[in-house]
Amino acid sequence: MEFLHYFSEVFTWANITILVLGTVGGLLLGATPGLSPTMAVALLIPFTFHMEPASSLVMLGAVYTATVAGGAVSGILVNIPGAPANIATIMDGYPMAKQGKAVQALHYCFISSFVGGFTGVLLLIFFTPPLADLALKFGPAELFWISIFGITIIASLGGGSVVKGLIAGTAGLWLSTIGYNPVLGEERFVFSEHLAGGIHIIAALIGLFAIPQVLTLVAQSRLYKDTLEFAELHSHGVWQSFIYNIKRIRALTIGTISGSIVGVIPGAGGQIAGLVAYDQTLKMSKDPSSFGKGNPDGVIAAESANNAMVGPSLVPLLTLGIPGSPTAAVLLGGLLINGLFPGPDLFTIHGAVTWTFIDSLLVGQVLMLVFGLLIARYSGFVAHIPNHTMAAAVIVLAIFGTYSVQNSVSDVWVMLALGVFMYYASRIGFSPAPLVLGLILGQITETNFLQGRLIAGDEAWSYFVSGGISQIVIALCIVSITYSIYNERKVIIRRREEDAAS
Amino acid sequence: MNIKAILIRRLYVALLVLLLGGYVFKVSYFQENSEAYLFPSIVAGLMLILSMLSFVREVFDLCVDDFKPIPLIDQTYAIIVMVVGVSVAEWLGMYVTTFCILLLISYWYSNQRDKGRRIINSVLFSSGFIGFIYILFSVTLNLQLPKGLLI
Repeated sequence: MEFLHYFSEVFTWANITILVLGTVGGLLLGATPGLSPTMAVALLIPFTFHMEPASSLVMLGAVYTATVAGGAVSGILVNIPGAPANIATIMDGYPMAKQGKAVQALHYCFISSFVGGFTGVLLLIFFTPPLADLALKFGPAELFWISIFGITIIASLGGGSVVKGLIAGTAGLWLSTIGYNPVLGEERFVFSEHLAGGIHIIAALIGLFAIPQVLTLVAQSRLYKDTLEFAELHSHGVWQSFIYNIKRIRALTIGTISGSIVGVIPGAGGQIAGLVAYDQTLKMSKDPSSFGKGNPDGVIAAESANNAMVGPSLVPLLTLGIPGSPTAAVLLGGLLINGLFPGPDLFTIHGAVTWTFIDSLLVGQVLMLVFGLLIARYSGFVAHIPNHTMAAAVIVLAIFGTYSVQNSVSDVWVMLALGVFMYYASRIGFSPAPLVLGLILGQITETNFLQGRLIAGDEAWSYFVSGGISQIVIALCIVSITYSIYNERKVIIRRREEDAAS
Repeated sequence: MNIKAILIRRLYVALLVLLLGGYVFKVSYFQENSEAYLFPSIVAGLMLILSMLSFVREVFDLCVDDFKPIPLIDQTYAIIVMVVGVSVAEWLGMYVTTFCILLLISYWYSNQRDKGRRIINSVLFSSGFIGFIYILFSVTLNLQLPKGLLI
């Protein structure tokens, strides 16, 4: 029950202010169509750079949690999910809004997000320390393979082409080697003066996640206003919504359990959690035909699932350094920037910081519920923000945020170059998540690889592949790639059959 | 777009990725101090193998078409504004440059038909947001920014 000791740290003036600002800001950012939680967290990292480690993680955690819940607002009101995690929510949320029940749908969304999110964080609290202890048994060989596994799994489970995911992952690993060799100190691949110190993680995170989104926003800006139908907001009693939510215990339970399970699977993310929960609720419903036409169970299941996923997605991140979702990958960057490496040290040497962060996630769920219900009635205005305004604001925040880290225009150039490159790469099927993870984990992977070689001498090969844990992790890498190739083949066959039929 | 055109486009992209993989391998592998470049060489080798595999898959049409349309004209303006803005930021000053970026992007991409209102809205938004940025970065975070000729 160590986590109870650190609750007082969450309630310091600085941390509670940050938590409230992060929650409200996250809800508003999430409610804005086109701004994903991953981008919001990436844009915030430069600000946290100037804070105490605990406060910076409190801020990032609050924004992560609140943007996932806030993403439902634009989904329900204008049928555009604020984040991929909210795709399942709009299936019944938007029809509810069209029936004049937008505020009810938003209430159900925040209440079920709270239930799912709270349960998810409790799982994080109870499962993380024993798993972190397991990481004590890991040497350089195991840590090397764990990093490779993290990249492999996020590359292969991204939903697109496995080969392209793996190419992006290796590209990220290679980009991380620009700058200096971590052991020999020799300068490598410095093609331009802007790359002299290597690629800074923050510049890469902002560039890879924010700039492609800006370019997508500007491309859609002229289509935006004329084609959207905004739902009207009528008042509805909060207590009535609470009572209704409690009555829909089955949808709530299915959502929470599905989200918690999917969250632990590295790379799966909130989108899969929401869709799995929605699908299971529909299958177990007595009236499946009402789904898609404004059944509140659809909203409750999807929203409890995508928030229940948040806590468990941090379990593999905090213990082994494997992020459970792209946003968790950005959070990993936030941890490393603060000098915190995943593993047992997080709960021993850095216990105060880690437990304050985890406790703040629990308090953040309560704040998310309170502020979510408060702004539900008035949240429509955020969804009305035009894309071009949002794009201009994000560009300027990205430029200032990147510059502020090292007072360097070179970082801004790197951010812009990576961002524009990533936009075009994403249009031809490459995903930023494996690239980012490769960049973040690159130095850890190389350091462990070189340390392993120094320990093993001439027996390097057998050192890296003979250990029991190493063999399990290698097997997991192979299984994840094989499974993803199998899934991709199924998609190809299905699409060809559809094409042939049409 | 017909199927043949799609296949050719995918093939060109796979070829480009393969060439990039080859270049990365060349600059990583052919180095004097091979010990310092060992890890990037292995990674680049793996990248080259994967890009070959990707090319073969495209040649034999073993993958799905995951390309999305690229609205080049729409984005070119935004990219030019960003690049020019960052180029002159140190010379003109960070606040002036970013104000211009805000103004140009919010004006150009606005879907408001009335030009007068469009200009007024863009100026109001840009001034308000740059004020927010000033409070956030210069007042709160005390960030030292390049001042240049202006501010």
